[in-house]
Amino acid sequence: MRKYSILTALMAVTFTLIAQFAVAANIEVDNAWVRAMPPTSRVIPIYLTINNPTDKSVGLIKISSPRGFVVIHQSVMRNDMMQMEPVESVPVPAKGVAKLQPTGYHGMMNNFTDGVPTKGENVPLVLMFNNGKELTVMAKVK
Amino acid sequence: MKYFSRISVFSVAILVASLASWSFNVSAKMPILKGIGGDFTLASSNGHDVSLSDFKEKVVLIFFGYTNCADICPTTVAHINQMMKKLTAVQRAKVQVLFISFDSEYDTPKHLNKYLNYFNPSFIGLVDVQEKVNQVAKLYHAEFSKLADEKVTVEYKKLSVEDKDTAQRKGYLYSHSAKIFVIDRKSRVRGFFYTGTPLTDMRDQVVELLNN
Repeated sequence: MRKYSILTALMAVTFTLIAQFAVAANIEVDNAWVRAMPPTSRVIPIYLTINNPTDKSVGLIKISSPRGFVVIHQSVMRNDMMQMEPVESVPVPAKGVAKLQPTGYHGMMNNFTDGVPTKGENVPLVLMFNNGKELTVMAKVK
Repeated sequence: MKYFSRISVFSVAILVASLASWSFNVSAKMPILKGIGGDFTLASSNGHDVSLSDFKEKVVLIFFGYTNCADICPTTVAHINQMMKKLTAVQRAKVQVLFISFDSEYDTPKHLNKYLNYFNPSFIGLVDVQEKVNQVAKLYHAEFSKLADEKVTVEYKKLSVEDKDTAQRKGYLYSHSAKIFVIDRKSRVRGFFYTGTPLTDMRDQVVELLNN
């Protein structure tokens, strides 16, 4: 009898661990990079890919960095003209991907605290999502 | 028999279609565009005035932009630079890239020099008093407009309360044509590239213009 209760307890623990592991499949960011720009630049772009394996859609609402002030922009074509427009959120669909990439969504960093990041440097970024989660990633300057 | 005739009709149709598209490609690949383009002279990153007519016998690629542009302009400059790397040294020497800034308020020839040197020292940056730049943009139908300051300020305020530097930021936002103008060796506009144009297509068309 005692044996069984230990077994049950073990199984319960195992299932709990598995369940937690499954839930732990979380939003991930890869291919974060910053375009290497001249040291005289006042603005530089930030690009990255957000993978959302969860069942809920999320939105990227803010990027912050100790290296400068970042706003999220989208390059859009209007009447045959390109323009950058500030966006409040980049949607990342459930079990989907969102890309910040050239000529689309991007982070625009300015007001540099320590000059324009140079080629090869890693720029720390904190991504804030509308579900309250935060992710810290490093973006390579290239 | 019926079956075979269907097949032969089908293959003739394909042959006609492919011939038509082939001849269409050859003649319409880079037609001479009328009513757009022309010679101009602007101050340059070389430290002296530059005219389009200085580059006769070269294929010229012209792009309008501004250095305080975070995404489209550096992406376009990098894209053109990638294409240049696909050319042989001899071909490259016969291609001139001109970056015309419409941001006369911020960009100067000296500033353009530093900016373009970073990407490719052979690229020449042009900027001048606003009126002269406007004239060139008009010649090339390269529209641009500064987005209304008021609107921009409001949007930034909405985005961030901690950002006290909106005044400085206004000038970053332009709406502009993102075309790369392709000019042949007789200073005629022959077409446009975009940042999405595949590099090999650009290279092939540039080489074709160099060979004609």
